[in-house]
Amino acid sequence: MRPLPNDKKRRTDSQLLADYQRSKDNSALDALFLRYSHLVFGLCRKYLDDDEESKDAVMEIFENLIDVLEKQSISHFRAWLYTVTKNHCLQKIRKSRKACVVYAPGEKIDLICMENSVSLHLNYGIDGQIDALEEALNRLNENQRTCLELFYREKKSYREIATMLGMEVKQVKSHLQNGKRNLKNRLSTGQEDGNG
Amino acid sequence: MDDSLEAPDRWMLSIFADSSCLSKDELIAYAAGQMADEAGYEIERHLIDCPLCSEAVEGIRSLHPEAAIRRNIETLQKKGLRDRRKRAKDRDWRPYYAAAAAVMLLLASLFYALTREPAHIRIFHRYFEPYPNRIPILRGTEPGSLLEHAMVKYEAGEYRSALEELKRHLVEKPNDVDAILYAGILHLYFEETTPSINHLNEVLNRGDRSVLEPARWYLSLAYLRSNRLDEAQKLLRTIVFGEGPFSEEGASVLKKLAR
Repeated sequence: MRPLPNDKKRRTDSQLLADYQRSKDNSALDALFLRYSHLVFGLCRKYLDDDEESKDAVMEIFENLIDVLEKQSISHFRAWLYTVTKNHCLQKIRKSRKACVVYAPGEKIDLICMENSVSLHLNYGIDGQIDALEEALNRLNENQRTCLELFYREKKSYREIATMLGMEVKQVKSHLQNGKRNLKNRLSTGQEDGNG
Repeated sequence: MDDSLEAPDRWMLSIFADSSCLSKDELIAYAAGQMADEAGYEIERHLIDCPLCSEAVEGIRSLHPEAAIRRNIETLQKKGLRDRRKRAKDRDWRPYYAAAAAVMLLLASLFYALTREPAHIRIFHRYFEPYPNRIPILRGTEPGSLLEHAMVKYEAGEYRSALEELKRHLVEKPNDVDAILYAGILHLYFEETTPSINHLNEVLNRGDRSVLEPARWYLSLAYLRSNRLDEAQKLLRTIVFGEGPFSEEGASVLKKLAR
């Protein structure tokens, strides 16, 4: 495999997309392909449950990316890739009617969490941020707060937390995701209130 | 981050710290449960935020053993890059294909435009049809005169013979307006516009009202066929204004010409 130039490896997704749109530089898309194709493959495998079909889907999705970039820019590439991949798989499943996708109750796709880099640099200064975070944490339900504390403060793994709290790993993950989302929502609301 | 903050407080700020998506090796190792504690923790921290990685782990986890995961991903990436480059090359040619297609389309349009009949000629072909025979023929007997011979052939659709018979008849009887009218119509049938126009004008000049309307109508068509549109339109307006048997067709042709 021809190695990618190092500068491509260092560039962010947005920079690579801009490189491609500016100069039709295929090595920019190759870099994105190498950065994400294994993840897209894994995601496709989850839904399609077939190695070859999943590989084809990966190729189709990245081929589609070229067409999309001809017409528009993509601001959050990871979120875009996740949504497009999932829709692509669901469409394939619908077409083949070979499987019925059932979501577990309460399962929720959280794209907000993907935008972690969206600024949460609150306007309070660091002390203010700590206070706001603490207050928001105290308003979470007990499971969510405990999981967040064990995970982020004690640096326990999902499995360790599950064992400590007598839960399934899946539940721990769910509490962490929901807790984090609620925390983010509360902080955003608090920030708006504070600014207002 | 402010170092003066005590560790118990600092962990909260790490909740929203950014993290990168899993590399191929991280994905494979984590899915295979072969990650050291600290690295595993960092992966799990990212998985909370990233459904792409989180669901990719779920998808990969059912694929065993680790060698199979790696083989699948590496095949995909090698093949993917190779195919992508090939498709990219094909794409590079796409503007040229598009340009070639555009040139072909242009040439085809040009050819069509050049070979296509002008509108007024198409109108002529649409509206011209031989005028019914109005000269009485004695049925059941051999045709007597040259005119009768000609009109029997005219009715039979043998137009070239009919025209020749009419010409011979007109040598004998040059003032026969019926024969002149049909000769004009037959010349027009063969798209011989000059003799047609001459014959039909002669009919009009003789002022015989019984053949006036068909003579005007066929003369207007003869003008159309010979690209004399102004004269055709002028005559058609007379036909429409006269409200005779061809006024409806005349109006229709005028309307089409106006388009």
